[in-house]
Parts: sequence; structure tokens; C-alpha cells
Amino acid sequence: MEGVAVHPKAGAHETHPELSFVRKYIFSTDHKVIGIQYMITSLLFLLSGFTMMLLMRWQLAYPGHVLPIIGRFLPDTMAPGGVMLPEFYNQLGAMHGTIMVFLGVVPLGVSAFGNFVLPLQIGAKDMAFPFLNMLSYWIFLVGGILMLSSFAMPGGAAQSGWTSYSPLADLAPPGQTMWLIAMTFIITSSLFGAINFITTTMNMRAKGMTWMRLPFFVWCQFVTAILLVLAFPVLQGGAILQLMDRVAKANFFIPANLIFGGVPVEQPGGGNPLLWQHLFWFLAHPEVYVLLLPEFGIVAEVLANGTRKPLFGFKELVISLCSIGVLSFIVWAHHMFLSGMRTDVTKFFTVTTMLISIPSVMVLTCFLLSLRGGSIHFTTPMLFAIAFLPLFGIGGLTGLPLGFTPTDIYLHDTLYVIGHFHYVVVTGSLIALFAGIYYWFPKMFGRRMNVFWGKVHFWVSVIAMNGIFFPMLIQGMAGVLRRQYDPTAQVHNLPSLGLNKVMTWSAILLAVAQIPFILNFFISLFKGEKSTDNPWNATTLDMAACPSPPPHGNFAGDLTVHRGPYEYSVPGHKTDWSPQHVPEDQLTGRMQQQPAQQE
Amino acid sequence: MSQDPQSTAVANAHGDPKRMVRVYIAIFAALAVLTVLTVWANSLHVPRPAAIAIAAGIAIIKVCLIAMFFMHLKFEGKWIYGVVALALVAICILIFLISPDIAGILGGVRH
Amino acid sequence: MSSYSTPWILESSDEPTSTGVPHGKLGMWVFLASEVMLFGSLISSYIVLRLGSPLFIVPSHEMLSVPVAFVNTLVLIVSSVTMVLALASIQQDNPKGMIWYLAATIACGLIFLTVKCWEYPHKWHEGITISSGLYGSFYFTMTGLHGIHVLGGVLFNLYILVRGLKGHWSPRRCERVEYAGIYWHFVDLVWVVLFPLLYLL
Repeated sequence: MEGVAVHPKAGAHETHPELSFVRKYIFSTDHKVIGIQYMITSLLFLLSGFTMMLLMRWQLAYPGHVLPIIGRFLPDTMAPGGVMLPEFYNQLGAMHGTIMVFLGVVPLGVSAFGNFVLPLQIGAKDMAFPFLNMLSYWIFLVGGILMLSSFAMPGGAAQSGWTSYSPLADLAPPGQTMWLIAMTFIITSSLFGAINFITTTMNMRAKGMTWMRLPFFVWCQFVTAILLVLAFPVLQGGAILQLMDRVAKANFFIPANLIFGGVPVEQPGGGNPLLWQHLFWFLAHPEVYVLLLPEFGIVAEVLANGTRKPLFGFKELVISLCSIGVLSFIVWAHHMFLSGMRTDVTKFFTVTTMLISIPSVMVLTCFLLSLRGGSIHFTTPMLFAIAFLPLFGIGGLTGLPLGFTPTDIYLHDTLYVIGHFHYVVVTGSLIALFAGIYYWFPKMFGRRMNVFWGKVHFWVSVIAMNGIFFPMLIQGMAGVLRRQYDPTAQVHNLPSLGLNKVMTWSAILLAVAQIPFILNFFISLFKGEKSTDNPWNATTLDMAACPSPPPHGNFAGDLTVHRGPYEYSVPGHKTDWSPQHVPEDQLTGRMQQQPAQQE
Repeated sequence: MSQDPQSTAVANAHGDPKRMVRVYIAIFAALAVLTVLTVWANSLHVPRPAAIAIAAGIAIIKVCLIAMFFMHLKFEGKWIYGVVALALVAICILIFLISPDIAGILGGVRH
Repeated sequence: MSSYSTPWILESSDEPTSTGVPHGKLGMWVFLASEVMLFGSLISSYIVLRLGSPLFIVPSHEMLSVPVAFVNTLVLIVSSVTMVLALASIQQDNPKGMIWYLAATIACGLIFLTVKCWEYPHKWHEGITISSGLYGSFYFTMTGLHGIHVLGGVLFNLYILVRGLKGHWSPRRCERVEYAGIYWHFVDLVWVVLFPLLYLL
């Protein structure tokens, strides 16, 4: 690195010849392009999953009414005369869950931000296996398209829920087979991604980037990748068994003497449906943390930057994170308290579930205490990150009654469960992801997003999200069950029926609130205010050590890391941010004060 | 943590290849003998728990021999061991936590 | 950085890494960790249903053709030792020896698959099919999945062999021979577990 340049400009990159358009933007092996591809794709999947939810919510608020706008275009096998069929409702439910979890939030949090940010933050020029990285994206895309196209299968898409419980899923229409095949693609894709993340984090850190100097975001991605590598293959194993059950009439999950739809199933059986639940949730509980940990990382980055002070308890955060990673493998059966599992086994899982709430609360407490004494800059990403804290808190705390067996017996499979995990995944993960988009957008595209419309997006979204999910908690405690096509079918549902209209119109409001976001995103892409190299005056290498957008190869020359990730407002330093790669003498004496870039 | 950089020429990391060839042949002989042994022990009709113990024991020995010498685990550092240990711990968790549940319930039906 | 120009899955740069372990080797072991979980999930399913399900009926040894499986086990063990000898050859700068040993490894893999192709119809003839009972379901799914891995290993070794014929490997540059070997030994290792599980117990 030459002289005192804090932001080494491009120039040392003539070793990389100019690539064709296809190699540069479509079949690219550059981690930044792949990250952006993942981001756009997963945002589209989020939108499609959200649309499915809007259709379901219309049916719940106005059962038997014609679906507005879209109803006329749906074929008779889904909605004859524009009124939704129960089978179509089930398909939408299953696909909403699958798409949001496996094609929306996880790819956005892990693959999009992980790919774009992680190599930048550790000072690497690219991922360890760039080709594998590209393969991971294209396999993911094929899996996603297969998953969506399963609506065109005879009998429609998978309708056994995103959990695909056997034996129902074993005997369901062919859409379920497509679900299993698409899942195989998605699992393979995340496996490739996770191998890349682990190898990159372990092997490609810049000189001086010790483990405790890694930004918290990198730690989160690293632990997430380990969870993916160890948990996803188990679902793959389960999916292979279920696929064999379906296409070759194997007996893994078919119990003896099973009668389906009044007809005895002509197979010897002897298998165990509980086995599927165990294999599924062995993946799916760590998967919950896969949904959450990268977002912890995003919130940590934004909080430290927006408060202009170091994170509170960095070491404790890392320890809590690792404990969450370990404990997440021994809590899965708390999803199965009502499945007929042995009671002594449920006791074990109740205890471990209570244990895992301790490190989660530690993380949240560290974040809260990070705010204390900071000079908080209320930028758009910071608003989202601050909103994450109480809203994710609601999500976490409403989970405790579900972890205790006695209360879970009442609350299981009610809308309370839906309210709980949507508070975690939407007002937790999704809000953090929005923070991430606003935070890294200038770095990705070299232009800033509009502040006013960002704040409109924030306030309307947060109000709408609470309008959707808080009534669910109330309905759930009133005993309203989930996965019900007709809410008027049971008498005990009737008193809280009016809340369905509140939720539906909140959902429509949430949809409207995304319009400024989408417009803001695309208009800023071309017309936004030009960003400086370090748009938020941050300390981490992704912001401080490379231009925006970073060129192919990221950094000019090799970096040396001199300090921890969140050295804000260090006494004696000229600026209130001390980038990780700048030597001490340049920060105390000779460096020029840069004009503040905060909004 | 930048440790002392090591060249990617892994060729010399495992000691003298000539000496290793003798080790490989010895391991092969051991594996073949153990395979014969496990089939022979199975034909003896020993009591079932003992048969399971013998078969599992021999399989574990064989797995260790292959992993240690053929896959060169014996010559690897702490990072590779860490990866292997994580996988082994996770798979032990899976098997130990589902077996009391499923095996227990169905076993109860039988009686 | 070489990884920009060479589009190979296991391409690794020659730069020193932070842990001292080459990228390819670390990546391969992480991949194997996931494979442990994949086969582990099937094996644990097998164990719990075998212990728990009253309908898990194991066919007699005669129906299972144990001697054939025994020979097949030996074939895989031989292929493992030839694989590791191929690596030792190239490490001693003997590319010819490596090519012969690799060819032997591939041949053993193909023999294994051929025997499996003979064994499956034999099992069907004995009345053991994938839907005939839990044993058949597990037998065909597990050996089938393992067979796919054997096929993948054979293809990986073929790639090493083709590059070896072009004189690509040398004592300084034989990492991928080692990675192919690690994968191949893992496939062998899985069979070492499956053999007593499916045929003997």
C-alpha cells in the first residue's frame, strides 16, 4: 500500500484482463457479483412468497369471497370462479413457508450478504473456491425455479406444509416429489456455499486478522456455515428416504396397517413417521439459527457504526454465538412435544431449550448495552437495527411458553406459534436484512439510497408488521389453529374472527410499504447520490479499505490488520473511526480529517 | 491468525514416501485380515450382543485405520481434526437422541 | 491469483493460507464432514428402526449372498491401497507408477459397481425389493446412495488419470491426487460400515 492512502484506489488490477459481459455479470466467479445475484434473486423469491401469503390472508379475512385482481387469472384447479379451493390454500401455505425460509431469508442473509461482505471484511481477494461459488448460485436458481414450477404439476404444488410430515407427504400428489427434488438442489447449493465460507474464513484472512479481530458479522457467517454443513445433509438423508417412499414405494415412514383416504395402503410398512420428524427438525432447528445468526451480524455492524462506539462485550458476543451454535443441535425435538414422543425425552429437550435462551438473551443484552453512552446517528440502517432489538425480543420471549411442555400442549399448532416465529423471522431477520441492504447498498453500487423514502419504508413496514403478527398471538391464545382454510368452521374461532381483517389489511399495507423500497432501490441504482469510498465512516475493511464499488480483486495490494473491528471514537485519534488496516501513527498524527458523511 | 506459512506442496508433509509404502501395505494386510475375521466371527453364531460388539469393534478399527493412514489424518494438524470432531459429535447427538425415542416406542408396541 | 483464470472446482492458489492447511484439503474435509452427516442420518435411521420396528425382518445369509459382498469389500480395500500407492508414486516422482495404480483403482471401482449390478437382480429374484419390507428399503437406498458415490469417485479418479496422462502432476503439484484419494478412501470407509450393518448382523 502506497503512502498514507486510507482508501487504496483501483490501479493494481491490470493483471485481470477485461472479461466479456457474460463472464463478468452472469456466469461470474467474483464473490461480489454472486452476492448481488443472490440478493436480487432472493428478494424476488421473498416477493413471490409474500404474494402467496396475501392470497391466503384474503381467504382468511373474507372466506369464500372472490380473490381480487388475481382471482380471475387463476385456473379452475386452483380457484374456480376466483374463489380459492382448500387444496390451493394448502399449496400456498406449504410453498409460502418453503420459499420464505429456503429461497428468501436464508439466501439473502447467508448467501447474498455473506458472499458480498465476508471476503471484504476479512481482507480476502475472493472466496477460496470461486467456481464452486458460481455453481452454488446457479444450482440455487434451478432449485428455486423447480420449486415454483411445481404449481404446474398435476395436483398442484406440495401441500403438506413446509415441514412435509410423513406419512401424509408420502402419499400426497406428485407436487411433493418436485418439492423433494427442488430441496435437493437447494441443499446442494447451500452446502457448496457453506464449504466456501468455512474455508475462506479460516484460510484467507489478511495478515494480522486474528480470530478475535474478525468482525462479528464474519463470526456469525462462520458459525452459520458450520450449522449448514452439519445439519443440512440430515434433511438430505430424510429427503432421500421420503423420495424413495414416494417413487419406489419404500417403507421408511409408512407405519404398518396404514389406511389412507379410507383405502388400506398396500405395503408391508413397519416404518416410523416420527423418524421423518426427527430428521426434519434436526435440520430445521439449526435452520432457525441460520435464519437468525447472519442477521445478528448485520445488526452488530450497523449498531457499532451508528453509535460510534465499540460493541459492548465483543468477546461475550462471540462466546454466546458459539454456545448458540452448539446448543442448536440438541433442542430440535421441542417442535415435537405433541408427536407422541417419550415424556423423558421431552423433559430433556425442555431443559436444553431453556438453556439456549440464555446465550440468545446475552446477545440481545450486549446489543442493548452497546447503545448506552453512544452518540446515536439515526440513519436508515440504524433505524432498522434499533427496531430489531425490541421486536426480536418479543419474538424470542414469546418462544419460551412454546419451549415448556405444559404450555406448549395448549399453544401447539395455534396461530400463537405462527405469531411467535414471524416475530422472530420477519420483525427480527427481515428487518435486519433491510438494515443490511441500506447499509451495504452504497458499497455494492457506489450510490446511496434516498433517506426520506428509506424512513417512510421503515415506519410503515414496522407498523404493518406488528399489525399482522400481534393479533396472531391473541388469536392463538384464543385457540385458533393454524393451517385452516375456513376460519368460520369452528365456533371457538368466531369471537376473534374480526382480527383477521386487521391482519389482512396490515398485510396489504406492508405490501404497499414495499413500493417505496423497490422504487428507491432501482432509482438509486442509477440516479442516487454518488457515495464516497467509506460511506458510513466505518472501521471494518469492507468499508474502509476498498473503493465503492470494490473492483475485481477488491484491494490494491496486501492489507495488514492492526486492531480490532470496532475501534470507534478512540481517544487521541484524529477521526472518530479507526480503520482496521491503518497503522497507529497515521491515525494519531498525519491523517487529514475527512468531512463527515453521516446524514 | 497467520501462522508460519507452509507451501502447498503437500508431498513432503507425510514423511518419507518410500517408508510410507511399507506402512500402506501393512495397513492393507490388516484390513484384509480384519474383513476375513469379521465374516468368520459372524459364522460362529455367538450370542447376539457379542456378535454386535465384535462386528462394530472390527468396523471401528477398520475405519480408524483407513482414516488415520490412507486419508493421512495421522499427519494432519488441529484444524482438520476440528472439522472431523465436529462431524462426529453432531452425528453422535443425532443417533443418541433419536434412538431412545423411536426404538423405545416401537419396542413397547411389540410387548 | 490463479483462481481467476482456472475454472476448476478444487482450484487452490499457491499463496500461503492463514491456517497453513491448503484450501482444497480443508474444503474437502468440510465436504466429508457433511457426507458423514448424510450417511450418518441414514445409518442412524437404520439402527433405530432395526432396534425398534417389529416388522424389520432380516433375510437369511443365503439370500443375502454374503460371499459376494465379502469379495466386493476386498475389492474396495484393494482399490484404496492402490489409490494411496498412486499418491506415493507421484510423490516419489514416478508418474508411470501413479498412472498404473490409478488405472487399477478405477478398475476396482468398476468391478465393485458391476458386482452390485449383478447383485440387485439377484436380490429381486430372492424376493427382496425396495418395497418388500424395511430391510429391502434400507438395503437398496443405502447401497444405491453409496453406489452413486462410488461412481462419483471413479469419475474424479478418471479426471486425475486423464490429467496424469498429459503429465500434469509432479511431486510439487499433486494436491488434487491427494484430495481424490481422500474422497475415495471415504467411500471405502462408508462401505466398511455398511458391510457388517447390511450383510452380517
